[in-house]
Amino acid sequence: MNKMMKAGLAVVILIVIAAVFAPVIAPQDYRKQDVSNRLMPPSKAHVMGTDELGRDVFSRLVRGTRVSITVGVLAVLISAVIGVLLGIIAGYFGGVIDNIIMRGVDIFLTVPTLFLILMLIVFLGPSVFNIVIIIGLTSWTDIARIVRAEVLYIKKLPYAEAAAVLGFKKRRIMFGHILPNAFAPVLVYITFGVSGAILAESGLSFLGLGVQPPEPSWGNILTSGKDYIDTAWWLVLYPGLSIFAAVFSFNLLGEGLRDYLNPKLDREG
Amino acid sequence: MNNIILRAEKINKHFMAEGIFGAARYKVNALVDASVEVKKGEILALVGESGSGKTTLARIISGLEKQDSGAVLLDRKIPDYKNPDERRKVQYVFQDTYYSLNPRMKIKAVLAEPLKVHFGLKKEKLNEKINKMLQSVGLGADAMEKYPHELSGGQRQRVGIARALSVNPELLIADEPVSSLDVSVQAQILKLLSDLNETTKISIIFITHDLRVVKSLADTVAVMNRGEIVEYGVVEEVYANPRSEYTKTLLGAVKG
Repeated sequence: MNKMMKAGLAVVILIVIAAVFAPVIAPQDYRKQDVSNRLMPPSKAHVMGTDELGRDVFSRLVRGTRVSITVGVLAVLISAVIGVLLGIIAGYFGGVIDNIIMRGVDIFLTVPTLFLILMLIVFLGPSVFNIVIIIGLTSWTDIARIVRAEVLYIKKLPYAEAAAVLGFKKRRIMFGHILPNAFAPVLVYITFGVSGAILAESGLSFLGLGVQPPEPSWGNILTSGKDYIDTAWWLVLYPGLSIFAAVFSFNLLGEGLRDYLNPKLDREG
Repeated sequence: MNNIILRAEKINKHFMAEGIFGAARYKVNALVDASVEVKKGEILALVGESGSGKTTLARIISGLEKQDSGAVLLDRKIPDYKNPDERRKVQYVFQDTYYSLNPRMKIKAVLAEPLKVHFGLKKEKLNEKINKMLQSVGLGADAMEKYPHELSGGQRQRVGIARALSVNPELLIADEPVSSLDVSVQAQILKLLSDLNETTKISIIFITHDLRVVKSLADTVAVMNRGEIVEYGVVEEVYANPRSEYTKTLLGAVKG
């Protein structure tokens, strides 16, 4: 593990802790309005100030962490499951099945994803659940390609052939022998994928198509803050920093993992 | 003769080779009418340069590849390799000792899996059997908790042999099992194969390009060149009285 990866991992752990223990960490109820104290700059009572309705920004940000991380992780898990399954099937069986799946991927890649996401959300309505599903269903193609390429290589290795000669069932060979050895690049991609999904959610929320108020997410805190940007800088600075820190640290972690799990280094033990 | 375990009859196989940018596709005959047979307890050596088709023939016999024409007969019938009980009869030992074992599995798991799948062994019986298998290939019980990369090449090949033998095969195909090993270790592995052949009467097809090994280990030998078997017979006879020019050149190279 290199230093950058450790730093990334530390921030990621911090963010996950904030998400899990949000109610304990938040000093105040994130919904509690106090109009007489609206748009207060950071102070001892409100470390990150208050918003246009007098709500504590820090408490809302912590609560928003939970939403953003949930969306990021769940969306990526959905895309990982789809991508891994289709990739391993295409790579292992090859031939017609491979052709059908990979041409499906090609067709999928011709659709502009952001446009598709926007349309689906307008259609289905914005909610955390819909956002998770839609981001998950639109970002599996890269994983499918990565897994397929790995499987094509691994299925020709002697241990995979030995498993076939020993009479193991296809499912056992695919999921017991090939997949565990194809998983390192998937893990790296998942880490990058989380930051991508967090950005996507923030972007959607910023456009008003993501998580709906009063439920806070990093994106929609940023949106409501933008109207007061010239008078209340803290409303955009802190959610902006949060998004930046999360995306940056997930990317550091991903890059570190890529080196750490490098099969060439792994090979020598 | 009743004790013929394996017979390969007139096996043909071709590959399509592609020129640069797929421009010139041309046919490469990997095997032309290749026929061999192996009796119970016999060791057949397949000898030839790389590209002579010896590995292709072995892979077809083991079911890893399909022939274009010709038949593989196991116990005088075409084996159904989808049937676990026929599948286990022919096992394969690979040249690459590192990649012949799943790098993410401990040796214990590597050896346990076929025993669970084929014989449904559990817990104490399973552990007992794994211990016995390790012993039979000259490894200690301490190897169980190790990963492949923690073992030496020779030790890994021993595990590979133990895994192949775990399902009680009738025919073991050893595809250049020692060519990636140090010379001192090569002799030990060859000795192990020869001992196993003597004690268990298992038949072995041994692939090699080293003619000296053939003489010390094999009963019969098939010399292959460009997909054809150019010389086939009992080792002593072939060595004493080679008929094909190719075999003579090979033998000359060893003696000289």
